[in-house]
Amino acid sequence: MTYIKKLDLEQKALRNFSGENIPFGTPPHPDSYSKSFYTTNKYGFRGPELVENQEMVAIGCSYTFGQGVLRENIWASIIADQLGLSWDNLGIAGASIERIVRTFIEYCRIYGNPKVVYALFPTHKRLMQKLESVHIETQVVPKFLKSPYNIQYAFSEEDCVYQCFSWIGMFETFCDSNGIECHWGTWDLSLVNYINECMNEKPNYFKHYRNLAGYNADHIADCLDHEDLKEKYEEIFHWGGDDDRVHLGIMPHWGVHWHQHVAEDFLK
Amino acid sequence: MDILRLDRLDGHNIPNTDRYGIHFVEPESGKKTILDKTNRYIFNSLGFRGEDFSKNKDMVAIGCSFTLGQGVPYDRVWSSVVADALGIEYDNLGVRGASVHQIVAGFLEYCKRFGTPKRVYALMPSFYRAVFAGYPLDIGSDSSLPKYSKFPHKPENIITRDFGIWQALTTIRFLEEYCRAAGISLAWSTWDGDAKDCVQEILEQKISFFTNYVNTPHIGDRLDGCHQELREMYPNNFDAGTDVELGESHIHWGVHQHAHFAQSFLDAR
Repeated sequence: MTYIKKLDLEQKALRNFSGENIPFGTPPHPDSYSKSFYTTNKYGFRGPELVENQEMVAIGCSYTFGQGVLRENIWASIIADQLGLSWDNLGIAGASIERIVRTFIEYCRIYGNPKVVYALFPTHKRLMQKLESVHIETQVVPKFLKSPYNIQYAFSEEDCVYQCFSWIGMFETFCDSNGIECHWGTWDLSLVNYINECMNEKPNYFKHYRNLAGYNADHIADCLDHEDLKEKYEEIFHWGGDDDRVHLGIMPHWGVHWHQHVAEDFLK
Repeated sequence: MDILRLDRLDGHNIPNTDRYGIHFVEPESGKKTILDKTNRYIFNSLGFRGEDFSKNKDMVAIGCSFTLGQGVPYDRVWSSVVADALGIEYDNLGVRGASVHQIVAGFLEYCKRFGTPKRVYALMPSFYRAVFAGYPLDIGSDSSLPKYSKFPHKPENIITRDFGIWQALTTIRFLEEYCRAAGISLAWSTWDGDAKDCVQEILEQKISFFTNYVNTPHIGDRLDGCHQELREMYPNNFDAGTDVELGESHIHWGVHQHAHFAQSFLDAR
């Protein structure tokens, strides 16, 4: 069970990439941003080395890591700036909700509890198997499977929602019991629908959920409030610098504008 | 959403104030089953064995049917023996058939509603119980999985035991860290032989977690010659419980085994 041993070194196991500084775009782009680099700490998290007793921690997936945007553009960075808080970024590209929550718990063990945590959770369809996130496929499932099986076909949509609601519930209780102010939301609109359904039936099911619906694509497309950002970060305003749809067909992450809306929704 | 029908804190027994027999509701049929006609079971309003929960208890016990005390009198359940020895009151969160993940999630929901206890004792079930949308599943050995699976694919035909072990161990790790951060004294163990072997393997790696693990007896250990006073007091419950499940008798421990588990927890303090 070598994967169990790695549990204790969670942050190292969760290196986003190699732990070294890595090109900003993947792959590098023929634009000015390709000259930039993600600066990662020894654990592979974006930003300087983690320090004890930070005021704020941001947890999440690649959107929290800030894939495709500068560190100053990341939604959590905007919040920290606005509130004047020191912060650590625990964003992990491709992470599942379970992995994000457990990483936060490990962080608290080593670096102490922050005063406030902001979480931007990914889709519920990412589940953990050993140290890897598995994207659960509920749409295109083969009619026949042969052993050894791929577990991505074993879970129903409801199984995935159950798992992630359970981990989020435990995350909320962890924060409440330890006096950590907690705010969380998700960028996945299908998960938002499940949460809304849940909150309609049981309004107190989640205490710290923040509806971030303001950042949905239609809203952003109509928004004219951030022309200054558009001017300053023109090339990564709408889409991130990891855009390589032309050469490799890789969809980019959202750009600066999207991050701005997420931050504003959290701060409301 | 079906999963919302399930309360995170649900003992899954019919609440009643004073009734003989465990009344378990089969999830599929809603059928009520009486499993033990010998012992008296009191379930609280949330379906857990014992009185209604109250805030800020000194101790909470979490686990599966062994913690619920299936087949034995309430005062001889391992957790009751521990609480009695410590001279404190406790709440029993034992849930029949629960997986590790369900047990821990239920405990955190308890903490949310009733506050954190000073100490928690946990007796975990087999790690091969995985949890899906509201139902636990016993994962079979890899060799028992069918060679082919036809759509719709059932988790029990696809999931391997590695997944169950991973889910159980990461959840226990979460429990340990939660208790540490919240200032709750935790002691946990498992009654399952394979699970014990898993934990032992990890402990041998000398890494810094599962420090709250308590080594309890193996189910198969011979316990001859001791606790004769209990044998006299509980002749029908001494070696095995008086519960009947799916037509099979005595599938849970008797008061003797409970006494040994309680002693292990008390010795580890």
